[in-house]
Amino acid sequence: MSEGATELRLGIASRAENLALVRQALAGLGDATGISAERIADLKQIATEACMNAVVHAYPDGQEGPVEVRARVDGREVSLAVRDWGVGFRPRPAGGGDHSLRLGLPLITSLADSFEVAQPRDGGTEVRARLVLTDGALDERQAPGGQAAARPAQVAVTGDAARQVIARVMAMAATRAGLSLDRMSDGVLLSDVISTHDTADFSEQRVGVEIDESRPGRLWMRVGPFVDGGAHRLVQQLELPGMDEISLAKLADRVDVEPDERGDYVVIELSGR
Amino acid sequence: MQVSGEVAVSAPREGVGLVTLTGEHDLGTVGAVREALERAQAEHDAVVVDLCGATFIDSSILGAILEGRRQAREQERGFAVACDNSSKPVRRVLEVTGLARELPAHPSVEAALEAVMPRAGSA
Repeated sequence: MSEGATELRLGIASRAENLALVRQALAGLGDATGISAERIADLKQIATEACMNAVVHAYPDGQEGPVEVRARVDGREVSLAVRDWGVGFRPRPAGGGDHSLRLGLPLITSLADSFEVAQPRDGGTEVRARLVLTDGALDERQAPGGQAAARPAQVAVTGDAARQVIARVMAMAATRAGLSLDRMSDGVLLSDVISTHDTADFSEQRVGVEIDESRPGRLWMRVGPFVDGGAHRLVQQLELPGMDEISLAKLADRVDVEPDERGDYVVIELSGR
Repeated sequence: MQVSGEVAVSAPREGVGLVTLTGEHDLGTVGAVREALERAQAEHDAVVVDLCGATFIDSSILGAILEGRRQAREQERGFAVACDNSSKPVRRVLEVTGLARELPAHPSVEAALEAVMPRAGSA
């Protein structure tokens, strides 16, 4: 990654209601990097169209599968990749009277400065688009990377963008989980501590958060992976007394360190109570 | 925080059904938008789609609107779209797809209602 670039990685299940989550994350990236409202609107439109293709066509027979969105802001350029692991690209209408895909591709090509559809070796489809923020030379295309997402929405953000992106995604997930305003503000306090935690404690210096809002009245988060000791340092930070001398860890119903093959994670649960 | 967009059907003038979209609309709400368009077509002589309060629409919503217009034409009913400049992303989508001219999109609900009224009156 070149110096100063900001990256966002968001993994979602291929469900229509997750398209709004993608737009929230990109809006947070725009806030953090100072991209103009017009260009962020274009980026949201392109991402929505590309994700919609994955939701509708990637996985057959109404099955759900992973979709990964990666955005990278580097100087005067934004690159976006939307990846699925499904049956391949089908730029044709699904059935009679469906105009949407016929309009979706022209929309992407009109709004992006460049656009391509790739078929990665390990299957699926990757739609890549690039937006130039001002006149300037284009960099080399980013090599594809990433891996399949699990069911919960996953966000990984580098550097200063973490705070805005994670706060927006958290707020939306908490709303969808039906948490009360009080509990949502607890969630925001927790996400603030997570997103401002020293990035050196996170693997590859990416602030990673998985959020599962699919259990009604309950928000489940898994933060990480961390480098050795990083997860415990975050928990210690959460246990420090905050305002009213109550530790943030006490606001949650559960704060645990759980190891995984990629490193330690911190699992946090908030119930609606 | 509004999680998704909302759609409502009203009848501001006799014979005209007004389908109002507010907030963000995409594949997650297209079913509700289609249903509202169908209801408005079934209950009224002409339909106006108000996008002035919509902050985002994707191509699935454009597809639903185009389908609504196709049905209206088949049944020789009035159909118009209103989109002012308050939502630039929506305006931009209509413009880059050429639909601002083709639909056409009127600059206000009033203008769109006027555009369908003669047909509503004669139907």
